Amino acid sequence: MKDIFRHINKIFSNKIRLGIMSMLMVNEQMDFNSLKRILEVTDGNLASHLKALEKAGYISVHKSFLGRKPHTAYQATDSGRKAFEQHIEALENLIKRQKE
Amino acid sequence: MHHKVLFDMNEQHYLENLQDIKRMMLRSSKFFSISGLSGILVGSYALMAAWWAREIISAAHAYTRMEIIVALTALAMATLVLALGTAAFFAHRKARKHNESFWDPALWNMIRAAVLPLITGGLFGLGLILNGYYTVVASATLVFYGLSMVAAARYTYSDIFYFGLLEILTGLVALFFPYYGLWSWAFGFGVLHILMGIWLYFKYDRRSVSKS
Repeated sequence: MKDIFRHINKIFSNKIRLGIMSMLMVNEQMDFNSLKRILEVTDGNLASHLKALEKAGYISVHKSFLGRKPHTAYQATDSGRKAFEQHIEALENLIKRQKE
Repeated sequence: MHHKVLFDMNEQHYLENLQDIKRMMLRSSKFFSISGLSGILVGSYALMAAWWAREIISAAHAYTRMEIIVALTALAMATLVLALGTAAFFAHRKARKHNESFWDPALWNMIRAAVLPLITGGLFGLGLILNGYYTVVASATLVFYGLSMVAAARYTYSDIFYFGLLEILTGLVALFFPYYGLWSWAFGFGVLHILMGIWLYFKYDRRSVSKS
């Protein structure tokens, strides 16, 4: 029984981190402002969650300049994709188990 | 037993998580601010342009070939600019009404997908005109437009995919009726746009208005 909880990833238990990963799964990359607009969070809040995902090695950060404006884009890493897929699978399994 | 209880408490939570994931994936990868009303207007412009083009062609004997080509190309360009402007204006309005941003990454993806077949089709059509292959211009522009809609559909309502298919089909059928080019063009760019606009309006726009 305990085994099915193994792939439930603590990092994705937060709604904002879950949202960030969801978007990075279907978009090659996303910039800070787009993430902020869709998630409707403050700069500081978003930055801290991005930092946590970056620390876990699930996303990579690409900084550049668009003209004079700094532009920060985020991308899911391979290990991030894998962890997220396992997380989704674990969620689905838990629900399936319940229904049986 | 203990696990079973824990389980019941969390099932709702897991289900919500999965729904959140799906919602975020859709929301960030698709542009849902295309407005049905703009489709109806764009179709109407095309019908007016087709009527105007027929007037120009029927008065052709009074002008040189180059004058006619320039007049028709200018008419087509003006219609295109007006159509794009209308589509952008209504999309912007719809996005604002739903408190969503217009400059979504999904919009960029959609534009990027549509622009290559669109520009290729435009240049292809221009080449046909300059070489005097007038009878296949309608066909070619319809097919390329349809291809661009099929490509763009990945980033917006899936209905646009079927709309694109209909445009391609119209273009292919038009190939077999070479002397009715203007009629095919009016059907593809006029009537189909209007029908698609009405479809989108009733399927998405009206419902979301009554919901709020």
